[in-house]
Amino acid sequence: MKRLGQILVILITLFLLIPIGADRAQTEDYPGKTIHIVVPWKAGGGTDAIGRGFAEAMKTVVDVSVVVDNISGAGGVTGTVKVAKSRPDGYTLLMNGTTDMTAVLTFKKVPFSLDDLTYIGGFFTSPTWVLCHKDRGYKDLEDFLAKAKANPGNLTVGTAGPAGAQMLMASAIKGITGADFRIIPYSGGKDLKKALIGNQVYAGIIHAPVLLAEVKAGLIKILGTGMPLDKITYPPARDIKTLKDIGIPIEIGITRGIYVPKATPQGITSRLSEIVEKAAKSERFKEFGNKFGFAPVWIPGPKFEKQIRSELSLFEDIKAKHID
Amino acid sequence: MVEGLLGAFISILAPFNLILLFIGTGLGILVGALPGLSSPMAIIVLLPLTYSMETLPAFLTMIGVYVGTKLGGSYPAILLRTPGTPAGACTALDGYPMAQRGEPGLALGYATMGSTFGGFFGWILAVTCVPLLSSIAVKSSNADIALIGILGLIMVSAFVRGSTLRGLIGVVLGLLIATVGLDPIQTTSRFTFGYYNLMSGIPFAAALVGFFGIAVVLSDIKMMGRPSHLVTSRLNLALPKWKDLIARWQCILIGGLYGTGIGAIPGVGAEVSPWIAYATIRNKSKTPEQFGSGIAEGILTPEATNNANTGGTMIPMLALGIPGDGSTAIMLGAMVLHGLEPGVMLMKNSSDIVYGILVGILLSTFFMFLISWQAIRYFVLILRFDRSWLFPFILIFATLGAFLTMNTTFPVFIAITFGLIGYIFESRKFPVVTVVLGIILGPIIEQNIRLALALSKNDWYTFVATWPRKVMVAAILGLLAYEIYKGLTTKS
Repeated sequence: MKRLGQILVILITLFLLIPIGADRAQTEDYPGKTIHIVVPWKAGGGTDAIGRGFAEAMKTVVDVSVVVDNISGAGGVTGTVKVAKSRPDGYTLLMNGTTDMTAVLTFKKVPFSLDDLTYIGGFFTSPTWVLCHKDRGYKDLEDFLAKAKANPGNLTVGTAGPAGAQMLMASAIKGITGADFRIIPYSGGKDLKKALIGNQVYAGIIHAPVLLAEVKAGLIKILGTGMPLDKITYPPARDIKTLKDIGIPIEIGITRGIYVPKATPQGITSRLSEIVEKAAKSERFKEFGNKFGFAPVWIPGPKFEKQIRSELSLFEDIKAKHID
Repeated sequence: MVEGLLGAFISILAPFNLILLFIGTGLGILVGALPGLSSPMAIIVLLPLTYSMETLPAFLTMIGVYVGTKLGGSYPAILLRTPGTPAGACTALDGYPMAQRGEPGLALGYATMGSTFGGFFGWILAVTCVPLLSSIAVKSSNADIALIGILGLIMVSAFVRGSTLRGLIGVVLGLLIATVGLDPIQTTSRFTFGYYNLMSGIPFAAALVGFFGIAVVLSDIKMMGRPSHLVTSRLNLALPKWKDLIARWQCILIGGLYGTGIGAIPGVGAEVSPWIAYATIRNKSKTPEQFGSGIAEGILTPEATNNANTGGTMIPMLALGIPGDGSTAIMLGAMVLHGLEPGVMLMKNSSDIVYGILVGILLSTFFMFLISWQAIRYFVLILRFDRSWLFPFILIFATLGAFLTMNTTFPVFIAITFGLIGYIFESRKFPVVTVVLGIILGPIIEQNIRLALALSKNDWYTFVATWPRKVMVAAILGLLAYEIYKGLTTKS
């Protein structure tokens, strides 16, 4: 009997542990309490760094405290779904990159869609760029593609993941130009970084400003970019040719922005837009951008929503034409 | 390298860091001394507490616990004949007879000195090997890493306590668990049953919490309410004389070498190495019949091996991102939580943390000596208490730790599930560490094999294209052949 009691106590403790958290909704006097910015990735990555930088900037704009919650898992889906289903009171915001959402929507059946969110605004755009080790000796992307055409099936292009914007960009370049290179999907940016530094792939596609330090050191060369690099803090890189410049009619880059659940009242979203815009234009965030590698931007909600929706249709188009 | 070490010394010498390292070491000795509680479990309990700390102090706390448990395990082995940790079991062979003979203080003294010198020895090897190995490992390609992973798995199953077959079953089960989630190249969903949370696989940090936290409590429930009989309750540590130690230098040298060397093999580490070192010293001895009757060599050797392990396991953890045992597996998980990227790039990107951890091992070994020297009697007192009141706290912290890995309840359920699986495994004498290594190394091996093949246009020759690869393939085949041969001959 005593044994049974002991086991029971332990089981009860176990179940009491399952945390339940609920916040009261408050619509007037927004913001009146702590704002949570959900970053759907583990602490330490690029999106997390931008999220933390933005939270610091927001603190200079509002009187309440702003904290970052890393709710990771399932390639960013867990945290995104969590916010989409959270109380629409303007205290739980999602901070995520556009392509992080559109790529997963393109490749997978996931329990959210672009209609589940309200778009507050985008504040940080980084193009996706094509890099190679300096020893490869390519002049630019056109040079690389010419070499790839001359050696069909022999050159390799690494991407930071098998189902992301980088994969779509590589497939589109391959499909549109007809250059026959092999796409090697590494498991995330860190593995591709290592392969590029170790000169194990011919070229690699990754979001800027990853490897910017190696570019500055002269070890890695920028071949091309999915979007203009005019906002980069490293001036020599600003006139790198975009895909459009060399006749590939696509634009690929990631914009980080703020989203809230669809049902958030109009009064709160417009107040939040003002706050986010102020934070994006604040000195604090400019400083962060300088350190990180790109100057911040401000894309208002409606324009941001249009951008992400056209990005999704571009991705679905690329997938249908060049991958399936 | 020297600048890195000196820099790390300077940053550790902040009072807060030193206090954390000291407390961690004391806690480690305590945890090691309590049978049933282990170092991976203690580190899991600390996860929620260290989560909000800066990275270096967080790892110093964990390192303190890791080093402390190695010595702590010998206290009950000597005084109760119940080893506090699996690795302490060997110390009981000679420690308990010596204590029975009326010299418990001296037995503990030899254990303390063995651990301290073994720890220093392992540290010296680790400090030399980690930077060296990382500079080679950065140049490694996918085929090399895949082979290192496979070699690690084969070694785990071959050397793990109990039978190779059980080890192999454990490893394969771990590999199976690791297949859940998106296929790393084609992104096909595998065994997710349409449940999006499983898309990135079973979160291994949560599985570890289950295996080393919840499962341990479940198996320890049966020890509740059992009083302990100490050899003696009043004792003071009697440090052995220098000339007695110097006369037994071989024990420390052999123990240190075996401890570091075997500790560096993934998954084998702590449990086997003291026995191998003990057997070696006994075979070399002119009076092997005295072993087991309570002689100093029998305490010094396993304890030196034990603590040299701490240095050994750091080598694959810091240079390759491959865990040597349960504790280092959790530390690797904690690295991810703190935004570090364990793997061959760790040394390049976060050398301050790497050197910080290494310096932490050295200082913690020193603290361990101090605590054991001055405060051993308080730790021994605790051995007489019933420790079941600790269980609810362990469960609370383990659950918090699981929650924190993703900030949702999903990993909590994973931890509970794996707690039950781990309990069933341990009670059937399947070493859980083999499953854990399967889970951790599985994705690394799969991803790298497939990338290596993608890079070589599906040419399998790439796995024997260079000399290091040829050696590794030969080692894998040799080990497998040896195990099969052994299995066939012992049956007939």
